[in-house]
Amino acid sequence: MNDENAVSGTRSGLISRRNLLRAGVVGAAGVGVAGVAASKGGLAIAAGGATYPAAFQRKVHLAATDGWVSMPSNSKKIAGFWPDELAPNPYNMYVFGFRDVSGFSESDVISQRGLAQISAPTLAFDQGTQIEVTLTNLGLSQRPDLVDGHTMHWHGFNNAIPIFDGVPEMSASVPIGKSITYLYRPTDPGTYMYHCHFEDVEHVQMGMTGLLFVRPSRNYVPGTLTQRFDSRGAMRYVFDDEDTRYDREFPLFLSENMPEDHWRDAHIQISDWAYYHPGFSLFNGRAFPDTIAPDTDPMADYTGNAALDRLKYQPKSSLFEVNANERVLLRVAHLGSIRHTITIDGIPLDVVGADASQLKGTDGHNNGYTTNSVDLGPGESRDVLFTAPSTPGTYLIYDRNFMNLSNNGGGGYGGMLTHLVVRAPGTVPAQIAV
Amino acid sequence: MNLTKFTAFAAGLACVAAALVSTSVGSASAATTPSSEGILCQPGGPTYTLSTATGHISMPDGNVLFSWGYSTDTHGFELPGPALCVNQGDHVTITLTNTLDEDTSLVFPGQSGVLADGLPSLPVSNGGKVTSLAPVATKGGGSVTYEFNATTAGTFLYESGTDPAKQVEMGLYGALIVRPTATDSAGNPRAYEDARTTYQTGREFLHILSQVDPKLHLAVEQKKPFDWSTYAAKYFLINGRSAPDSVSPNNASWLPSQPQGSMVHVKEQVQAGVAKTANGDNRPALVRYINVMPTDAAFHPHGNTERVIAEDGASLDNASLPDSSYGKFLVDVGSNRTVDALFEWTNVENYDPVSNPVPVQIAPYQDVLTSASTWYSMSPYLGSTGELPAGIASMNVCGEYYHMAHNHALQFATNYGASFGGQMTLIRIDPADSLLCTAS
Repeated sequence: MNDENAVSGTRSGLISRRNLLRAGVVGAAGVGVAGVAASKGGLAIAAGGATYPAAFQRKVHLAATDGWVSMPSNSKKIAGFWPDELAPNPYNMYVFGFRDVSGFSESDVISQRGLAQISAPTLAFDQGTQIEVTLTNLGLSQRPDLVDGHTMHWHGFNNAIPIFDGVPEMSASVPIGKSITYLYRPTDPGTYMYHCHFEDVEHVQMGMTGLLFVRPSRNYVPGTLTQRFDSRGAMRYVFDDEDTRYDREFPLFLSENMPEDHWRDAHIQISDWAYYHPGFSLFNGRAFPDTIAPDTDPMADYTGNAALDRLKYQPKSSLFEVNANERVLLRVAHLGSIRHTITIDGIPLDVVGADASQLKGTDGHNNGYTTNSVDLGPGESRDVLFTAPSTPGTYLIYDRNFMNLSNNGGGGYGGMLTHLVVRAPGTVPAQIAV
Repeated sequence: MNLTKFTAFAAGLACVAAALVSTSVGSASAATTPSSEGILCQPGGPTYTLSTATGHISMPDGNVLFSWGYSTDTHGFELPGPALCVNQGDHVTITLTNTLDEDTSLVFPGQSGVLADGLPSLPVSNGGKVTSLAPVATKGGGSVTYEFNATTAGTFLYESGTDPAKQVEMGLYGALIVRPTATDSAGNPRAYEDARTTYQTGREFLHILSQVDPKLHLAVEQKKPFDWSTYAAKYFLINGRSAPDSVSPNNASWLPSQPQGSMVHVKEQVQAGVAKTANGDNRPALVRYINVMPTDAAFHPHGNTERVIAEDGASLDNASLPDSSYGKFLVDVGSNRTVDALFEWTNVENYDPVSNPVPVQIAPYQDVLTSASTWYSMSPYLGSTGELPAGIASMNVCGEYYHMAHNHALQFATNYGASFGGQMTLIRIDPADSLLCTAS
């Protein structure tokens, strides 16, 4: 058995994985493909392996609750619905959402009740690791009348087991005050997403959505999670394929919201969830011009900094700074409800993956393509590589469905629009974390 | 959500529970009821007689809607029209009789050389204005016979070519399946000629995606005008049913005009060296998607990535060309397009309560929320069942797994605006070695 072949066999989705299994790689150990991936480089996983070595375990603690966020305040008003008069200053829209409370004490976790963020925290995992996501339901501070559960659904996880798939009717959901731990051993690198599946149309619309991705073992020194480097820098890949190398990556999480639905949830009204007409279209939980504001931190104190204070619970910036000529990966995932067509003015876009599957046939034929418009619908993802122009400057990233560039239909530029800032070579420090 | 809604939802599920139990009982002699699941093909091909028909369809929230559809010599009014399954090379003949008070016709996108009453089936115009995309069966009893040679294997549709925006929405559509002559040496069927499109015998499923605006249907029933600028679909169907009715078996007695179920039912895949999987599936299932909605369908099968092997009846897995099939966890079916995809599920972790326990604490049922009616086995282990909380109805038969498959533009996963409905069905995964499970 050749370990290198074994691992590469997992790369192109289900067919090759089945072949891998048929080839007897799993053998009598019965550990499964994840065990194979982790065994690259000779890491020992015991037969019937109940758990992974500590170095290959990752634990995340998420909390689910409600809260308030801020859409651009000069947007067109929707009479009776937006801005929401119940919203505490400086916020204007009611949401549900997740928070990353990893490492928090129990009392600190509970203190995040009513302090949801959108988009949900970006989760970055590694192929061949054992991931435990513990989800705690903190309840809804604005709606004590509701006893909604919450779940975590890793959208696209292969060969999923129902209790870890987060669909309430197929398994269970987390009641208020309790927790469920979800277990994942991802075998397939790529860009995924996650969301709450309880009352899905409502909880997804309300903001319980985020981006999740899996890095390939190829990035690491065999048998470790130690980043490999060469003269170009960190050796980072989308898939287990040399052609998918990149220097810098950015999550671009797409969603929209309908302010009327959010108002009705805050005001104990019922929505017709079959009717959908979004007001704000968002990149990483923000509408332009907020997309280009810097990252924020829900735990920080922004007293005296009104510009960042109002974005405290929309922590993810979409201002993407790169150096000229760098190879850049955009991880695009979409959990809104209408199609979007993402473009970057003047920059060819190489689509190498869709839905966490490399665009390759079962015969290895490369089905990737180059385009100026990356079109994707609800629940889809794309892995998009491009080479930053050699000329420094600001380039626009936006949705070519121009209706989505207007906040609440008010005209002007808003919504799904952000900046790619290209700087002279060597200006932007090497990327450490996304 | 509020408790009223939840109670209604639970009541709806109770019906489904009964349905599933009856399925499993019936399938104890599975070989005798092979048509309770999977694609339900109209017998008698490749010569068919279709008559337009009107009737009423049931929605899971209790609503009953006037609808159009077709009837045949074996079934009264049904929605959608019956699946016409023919073999590649067949000469297909379809005689359409019109009982409506307006003209109607049939078009067969993807077929060439179609004849209507012996002449080429061409658009009809009157005074320079197109009145139909194909020669019509005139209102009030007219008929027309269409025929063509099914030269290309694949998933296609037939639908009205006369005032189609209205007539297709009202229910005049159905599947046209052309099966290739090729099989593999073991007799496993193929979706297309290429060996990479081979699927497990008996694992052929159809998802026709459509939508309904009740206001339109009421206006047509009452012969009143309808203002199309007010069109707003409120029900979203798979094979004419809205979830959770979608998972009821084929020919369910309580859905007499909506005979086609859509639950995908497979066994876990065989794994080399894992003895208990020896009786599992060794080929994927085939899911044939057809979308007759005016919008794209973003269909998301939970459980595993599917491999898209064809679009619009054109194979992406053609042996003479590079393989351009692709993996997708979101199967995007464009308006009036078709997609073929392969689904399989492998128990890669092989968790076992004794020899390979799940390495995290599974919260006891007292500490989690379970639906009033649940598909969950109450156990993380395939083929095992756990203790059911008091007052909870289980639809689980043998410790099988269920995953959801649904339109991820979630406004389409609703019944008149209420969540957990609409274009949603289930994927059932049976353990390979259980005598209690029903996958044949």
